[in-house]
Amino acid sequence: MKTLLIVGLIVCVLSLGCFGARLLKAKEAARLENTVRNLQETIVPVKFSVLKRTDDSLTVELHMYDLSGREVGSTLRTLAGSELSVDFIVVPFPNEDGGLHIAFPYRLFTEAIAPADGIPLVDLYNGRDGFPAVFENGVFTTSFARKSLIRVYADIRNGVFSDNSFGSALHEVSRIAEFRTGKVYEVHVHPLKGGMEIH
Amino acid sequence: MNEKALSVAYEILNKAAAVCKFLFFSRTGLLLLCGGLFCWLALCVVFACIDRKRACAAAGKKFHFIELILFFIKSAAGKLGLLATALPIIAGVLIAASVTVGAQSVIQQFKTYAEASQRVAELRTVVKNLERQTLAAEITVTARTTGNDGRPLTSCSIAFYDDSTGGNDGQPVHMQNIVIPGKEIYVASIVYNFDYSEIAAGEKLNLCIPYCIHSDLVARKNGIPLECHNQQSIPHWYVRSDSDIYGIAPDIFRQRVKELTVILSDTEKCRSEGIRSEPFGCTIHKETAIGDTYSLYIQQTGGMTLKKNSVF
Repeated sequence: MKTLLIVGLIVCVLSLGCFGARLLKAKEAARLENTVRNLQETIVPVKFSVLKRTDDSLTVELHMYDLSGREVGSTLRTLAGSELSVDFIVVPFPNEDGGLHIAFPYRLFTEAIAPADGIPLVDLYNGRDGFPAVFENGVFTTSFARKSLIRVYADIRNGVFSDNSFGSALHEVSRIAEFRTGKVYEVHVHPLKGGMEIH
Repeated sequence: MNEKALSVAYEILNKAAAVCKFLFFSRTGLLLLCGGLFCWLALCVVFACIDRKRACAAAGKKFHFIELILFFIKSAAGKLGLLATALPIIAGVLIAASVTVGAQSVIQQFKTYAEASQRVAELRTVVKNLERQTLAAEITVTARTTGNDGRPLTSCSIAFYDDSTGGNDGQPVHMQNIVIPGKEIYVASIVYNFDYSEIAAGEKLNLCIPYCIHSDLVARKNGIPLECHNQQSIPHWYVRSDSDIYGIAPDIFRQRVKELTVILSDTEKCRSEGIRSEPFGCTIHKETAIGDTYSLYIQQTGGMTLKKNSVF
């Protein structure tokens, strides 16, 4: 009888512990969702400029910025082709059903380069403890938020994509409009609306 | 009746203005007028000289050459004097011609402005009709094999829908089957950003037109063009049933959509038509698995989304 009471007590304590942990996790998730909702309406993680064009190649300078606008990485590359594409991986965050989207700069390619042969950008902003530096100095301050983002970033770097994530590459279409040489273009990401634009 | 009378009056005014413009405001017309005047003057003087010579002959006098010259000058001066007395009438005719041409020009400008305003209003309504989220196509991965070069080959069946058939509740309006190396499917589109456009009326609007499909292993320039336009050259997903079109007559809507898709494909034409857009390319991509179906949506905010269909 005494043993049964002790076992029952232990089960009760464990259940309460599990329930508490679940509650805490749900609360953290809700806080994280609020955190993402507090992101600016428009984020500018990437600015780029086409420095030079020839008949069959272009030279591009690309800079990446964190949420406060501080530069966190850059690259200068010459690519074959004439239509630059700046590719992002868009991930629903913090969960699969979330209507909020965060975009990770992923790679550069052109109309003449197969995406798989493009220039990866994803490692250029690998920050402290594997945190994606483009999301530093902003709303991702809690441990839970940072860990969640580190996990998503690690998956992307390893080529593991969730079902609801997708790639989105912004590019020029030379027959209609091409990027002007020397002009600095900004990629505007709208986490709340889930859209991206070039300005 | 009044409208008919006005239309007839406008036609008469148009014709009168055209005649006035030709006679008084064109080089050919002025040359013709001056030529006519000169001929009249010359004929009058010559006939007067002939009459004078005949009169002299009848009187038995000789009409000397010096006399002829002097008479010629006198006759010409007389006719010019006659013309001078008619100057107020000539000025009146010129003023009337100017007023006719001016009135026609002002009415024409008003008409052009009214037509342009109506056109912009119609285009604005068209864009409003088009800007909602629409299912454009469903892409089903039907097979995955290995090519001779060892690369994976993905076979896809693309079903295009138009809104008039009720999106995916209806039947696809066109099917396209493709086979492409690679596992990841890329759908390239052109996004027209009407942020500062006259037709956007200060609101942010984007229209998106997918044009090609490629893969992680195939560069965009080697991609497969999407057969996404109907026989009227309108993208399938911008086709609307009559009951779905609001604020504009269905025929005008379709005519303007066609016009818009033609204009949008040419930046210079966009500018010349007073439509400012900032087009850029947007390609969405996703790694696919055999049997999966993905819905390609054209978003209200512009761009596209590719959603994996689930059974439940």
